[in-house]
Amino acid sequence: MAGLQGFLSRLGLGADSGPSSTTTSPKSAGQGEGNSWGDGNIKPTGKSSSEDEGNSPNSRGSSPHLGEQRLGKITSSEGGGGAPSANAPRSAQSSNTARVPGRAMPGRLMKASRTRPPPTDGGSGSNTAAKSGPKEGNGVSNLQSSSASSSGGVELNNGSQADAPSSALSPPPSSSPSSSPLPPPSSASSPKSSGSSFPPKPSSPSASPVTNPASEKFSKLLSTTSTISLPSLRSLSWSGVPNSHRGEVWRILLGYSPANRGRRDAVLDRKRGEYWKSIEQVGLSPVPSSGESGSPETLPATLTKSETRLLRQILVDLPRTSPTVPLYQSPEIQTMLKRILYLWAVRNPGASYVQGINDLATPFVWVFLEEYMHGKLKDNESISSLDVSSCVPPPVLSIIESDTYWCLTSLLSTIQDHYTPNQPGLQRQVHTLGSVVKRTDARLHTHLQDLGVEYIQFAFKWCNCLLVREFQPRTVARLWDTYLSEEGGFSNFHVYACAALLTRFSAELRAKVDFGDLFTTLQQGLPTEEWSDDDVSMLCSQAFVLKSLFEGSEKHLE
Amino acid sequence: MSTRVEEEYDYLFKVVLIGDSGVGKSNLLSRFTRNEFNLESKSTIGVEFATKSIQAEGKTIKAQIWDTAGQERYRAITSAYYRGAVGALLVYDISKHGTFENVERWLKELRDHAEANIVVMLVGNKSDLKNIRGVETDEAMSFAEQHNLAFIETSALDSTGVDTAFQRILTEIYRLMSRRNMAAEEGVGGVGKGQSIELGEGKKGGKKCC
Repeated sequence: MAGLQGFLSRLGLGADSGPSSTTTSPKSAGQGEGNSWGDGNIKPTGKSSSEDEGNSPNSRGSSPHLGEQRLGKITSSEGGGGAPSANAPRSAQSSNTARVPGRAMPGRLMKASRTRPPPTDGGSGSNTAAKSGPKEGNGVSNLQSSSASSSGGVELNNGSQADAPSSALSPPPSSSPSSSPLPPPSSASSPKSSGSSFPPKPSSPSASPVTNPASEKFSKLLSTTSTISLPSLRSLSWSGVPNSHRGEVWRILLGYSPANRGRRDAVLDRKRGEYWKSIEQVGLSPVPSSGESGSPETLPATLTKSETRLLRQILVDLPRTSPTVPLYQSPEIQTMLKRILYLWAVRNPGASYVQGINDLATPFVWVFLEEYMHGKLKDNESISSLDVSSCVPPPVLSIIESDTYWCLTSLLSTIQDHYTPNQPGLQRQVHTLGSVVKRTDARLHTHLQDLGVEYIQFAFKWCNCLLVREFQPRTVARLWDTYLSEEGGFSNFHVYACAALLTRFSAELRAKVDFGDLFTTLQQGLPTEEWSDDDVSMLCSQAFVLKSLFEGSEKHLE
Repeated sequence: MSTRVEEEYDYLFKVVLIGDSGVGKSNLLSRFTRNEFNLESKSTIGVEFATKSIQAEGKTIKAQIWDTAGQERYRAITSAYYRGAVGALLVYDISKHGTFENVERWLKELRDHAEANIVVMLVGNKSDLKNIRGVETDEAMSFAEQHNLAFIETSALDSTGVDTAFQRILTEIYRLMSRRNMAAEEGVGGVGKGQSIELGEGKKGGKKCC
């Protein structure tokens, strides 16, 4: 930490200290002198997470020994980092820097992750059972969901990844058309079944379990101990979680799924059951998916006036939830979101439903679907346009729904005063953001002021929707990996991420000399569509630096 | 793309778009300022903003339009944007009577937070949805008369009435302002070029523009 401080003080903080950068991100080239704290110090982290490789379709070809090398290094650096999350980025970073020789063609990687759909695609070579390492159906058993086509594959694989070794491997869900044509699950018997399917190997399915390094690390951590060490998990997740493990990791980091594996199934079963009971209690139909009765437009007659108003508001927003992502427009997901949002609002009358909370539910739906679909997607398919009705059996949907509810609840409980009247927590965040930018990017701050743009005018949305609207879904998932790994990720770290985001586009923003132009750019979204995981890693590292500097030292922010 | 020379204008008027959520405020704004309609628009969080210049009575008027979030929860934040606004488009959805019923509440909002002489126009949006109309034109018109509001029906989807609505309210604001300036001619020198004006007191709101 001392080294870090020294580094930063050398940069002179607010001053544009001239980028010494050779950052690997092509994006930062355009950043030029705009970056007031120089790319140099941040850069190493940019290439941090080894999940990058794992996520990249291109990594399929990466050689096994390379993976081992990485694994070894990361592990050793972890050993040194006794402190929890705080050190995570740095250790990951150094190990990554060390690995430079091993990282073949970053440019190519980057490109791949930009142009390809979320790297969930199992690819044709993947094997179905491997991804699921499904365990017995107890996750589903007590849900009253219509058991339609439920077979062994209905439960989410995740919890099962940890448990995979012990669980009987059941066949993939027969109802999932996309999975049936895939080759037989020959490597399913591998204890690291999840890892072996990710990334999918082009070679024969019976190849030895050459696993994705990041994925393997997670598999290891999640399965080798009876009680998962949360500091270790945070530390590992800080730099990104592979899609294959993200669902499970998020559930644990949010405190929904117990770190103690022995208790996990029982707890999850109970919570999932509770959710559905609650749905009935509040008068909503528990019919999981489409159909007349489950259509999002249905207004139960039993509701009071204020409940009706609440539900109306939610219904107005449902079709406007990430409207450009077809997934969220499917009747199944709309119905799901309706129930989740309504129940949360009813159970949290102090806040009730506030527009934008709908956005906050979407990453969970995404991540859990991605988890379930891991290895099942074909190359040209993505979660974004997943045909839920044909790919995801109702029992799985009902699990995803209840998990989304509980995870959203857990997330919102950390930022309670974001959504209470006058939204004080949110206003506080926006205020802090202004202070941080003033100190770290004085030129941008002055520019905003000169043109009369107030932070509240654009950052209100950033804080209200926790940047969900500023990024593509896969990018949000990566960003939230870090949020979830940071203490106070959403309530605190987020502010620094916003500051880093602004600074990242400082030059572009300062080039706008007209209030309207500047405001429009900020309001319509900074150009992040093409962001890769690396870009997010870089952003998080920058945010981490800022947080280390300013947190707890309010004087610096005056 | 970045640097654009600010265009010349004679007057800058600040106008706010208010009304229940989902009535189409953001699309009215985008239809007017960019001639765009987006079926896939997200809910507005906080405020959004756009400008457009029009000609009225030989003057160039630049409208600075603030589009606000409709949900009640946001009013504390959005009402800050009423400050300095000289016009308000109060929008409801002709296919949803509930959004019309709330118009009174919105008027109260304006009374509480906006300038006394703000020009208000009642806008029944989504006029393309005639087949599922929930608010009769007559009903809205008589409400508007009763409350001394201008009134128009629009469709951001098919553009009907959108330009007219903005043109009318901006012209009305301009007239109101000119009259007042004339009245105050001797004393203070009117509003300078490119200056935002505020409608002061002393004029009763001749708010009907049609």
